[in-house]
Amino acid sequence: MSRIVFSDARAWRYLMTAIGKIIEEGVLRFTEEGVTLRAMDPSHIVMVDLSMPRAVFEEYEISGVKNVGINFNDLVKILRRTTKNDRLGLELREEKIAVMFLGSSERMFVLPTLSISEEKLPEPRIPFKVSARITSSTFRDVLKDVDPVAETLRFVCEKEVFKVIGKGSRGEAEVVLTEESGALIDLSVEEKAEASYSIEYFKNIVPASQASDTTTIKFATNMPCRLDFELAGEGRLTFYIAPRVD
Amino acid sequence: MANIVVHEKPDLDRAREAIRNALSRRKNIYILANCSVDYFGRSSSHLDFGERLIIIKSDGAVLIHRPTGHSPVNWQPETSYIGVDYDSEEGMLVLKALRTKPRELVTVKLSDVFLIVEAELRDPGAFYMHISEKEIRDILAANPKLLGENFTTIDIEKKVEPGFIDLYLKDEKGNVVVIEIKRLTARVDAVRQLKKYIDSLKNYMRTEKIRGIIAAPSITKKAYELLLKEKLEFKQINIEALAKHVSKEGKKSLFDYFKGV
Repeated sequence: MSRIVFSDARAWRYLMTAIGKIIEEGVLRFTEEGVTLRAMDPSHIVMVDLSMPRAVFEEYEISGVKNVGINFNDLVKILRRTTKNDRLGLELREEKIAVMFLGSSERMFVLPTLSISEEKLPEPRIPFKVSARITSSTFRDVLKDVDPVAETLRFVCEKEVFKVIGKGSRGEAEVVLTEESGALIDLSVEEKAEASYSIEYFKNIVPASQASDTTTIKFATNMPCRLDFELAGEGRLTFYIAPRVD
Repeated sequence: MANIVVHEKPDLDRAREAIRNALSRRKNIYILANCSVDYFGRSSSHLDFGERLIIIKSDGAVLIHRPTGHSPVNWQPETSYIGVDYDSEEGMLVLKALRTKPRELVTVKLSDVFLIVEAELRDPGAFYMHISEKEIRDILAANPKLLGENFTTIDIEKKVEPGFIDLYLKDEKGNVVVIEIKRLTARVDAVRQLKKYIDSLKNYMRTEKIRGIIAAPSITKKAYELLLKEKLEFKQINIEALAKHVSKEGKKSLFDYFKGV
C-alpha cells in the first residue's frame, strides 16, 4: 500500500492553494525519494516546482514511481476542512487518492485521480543578481501595501536597498526594505537590478507564504523572478515568474 | 490626387521657407539632406554628419533614416513644437523637434539640402492585422470566454498521441473541451484531425464527456456535414476582433528563458 503522513495538514492546504491558483490540474509525482511536482500555468508565465523529500514526512511508504493526476480545485476544497492540529494522510489507490485528516477525529475523503501525463519541464537557469530573504509576513505586508494601486510590481535593488514599487493606473506605491530597518533578513546584490512583474501572479502565490517562515526573492534585470518558500526539513516550494518587458 | 510640391537642391534660405510653410500647413515633409542629429532626453546621443532622409509627418512625428536598415536612427514619436531656423554662425539650418512630456529634444543640423517634398496625402484605408494561428491560440487561451461560453483554460499545445491539441479547456459543467483552431476556412481535414485527438483522449480518459470544437472564421459545407455526423461543434471566431487582443506589452513566456541563458 502507498501511504504517507505529514505532520501539518494546514501547511499542505496553503501549498496546494497556491499551486491550485497557477494550474487547474497537475501531476504529483510520488517516488521513493519524495513527492515532487513541476508544472507551468497555461499562459506560460509562472512555473511551480514543489519538492518534498521523504524525510519531511512522518510516514513514507511509497515503492516505485506513482504519478497521480490531481484536480487542485477539488483537492483544495477538501483541504479547507483542515483544523489546527490535524496531520495529513494520503493514500494512493487504484485511480483514486484518499485524503485523511488525522486529528481529534479521523476524517477521510476520496477523490478520483485524473489520467493526465506529466509535463517534462527543465529548470530555468537564470543568472540571478539579487537574492533577498524576508520574513513571509513582510512578504504578505508588502503585497498588501502596494495592492490598492498596483497592477505591476517593480523590484529595484541597489547596494543595501531593496525597493518594491507598485504601479497602476490608479497611482504608485513604494516600499523600501533594508537590513538596517530589520525588514530584510539578508540581501546579496551582485549588481544593480530592476525588473517588473504582474502583481496578480504574486497574489496567487501568496497563500504559500503561510507554510513557510521566510520568503526568498531572486531576480535580475528584466529576467524572471524566483520565489522560494522553504518548508521544514529540506522541503521547498519554488515559483518562477516571467517578467513584463515593456 | 495627392497634392505634392517638390523643391530640388534649394539653398538653405529657400529650404527654411519651404519647411516652415509646410509645417504651418501640417503637411508631410520628406527631406534629403546632409545632417547631424543630437538627441537629449531620457538618454542622449550624437550622430555625426551624413546623408539621410528626414520625415516629418502631419501629426508631428519625426523620423530620421540612414540609407540602410528598416528602423529610423533617431525619432520623436510626438512633438509639442517643431521649428526650423538658420544659424548664420555655423551656416546651417537647425531643425528642432521638442516633446515636453517627457522632455526630449531632437536637434537636426542640415548643412546641405538635396530635396524637399511637401505632400498632402489622403489615406482613408483601414488596416487589417493578420494574426497567426499561434496568436489566435494565445488570445483564446487568455480569454477563453471569447468563444462564447464560460470556458476555463487548462492547457495549450497539449500533447496527445496524434499530435498537439491547440487548446484544452473545460466547460461550466466540467466537461473536457478540445479546440482546433483554424485561421482560415476550416476544411474536412481539420474536422478529421479534431476527431483523432478526441479518440486518442477517450482511449485513456475514463468517464468524462469530451467536446470537440472547431474555432475558425468559417467552415466548408462538407466539413460542417462531417462535423455534425461526428457530433462535434463549430464556433465562429472574428479574427479582426481577436487581433485587438494582441498583447502590445511584449509579454514573454518562461520558455524564453529556458534556452540560451
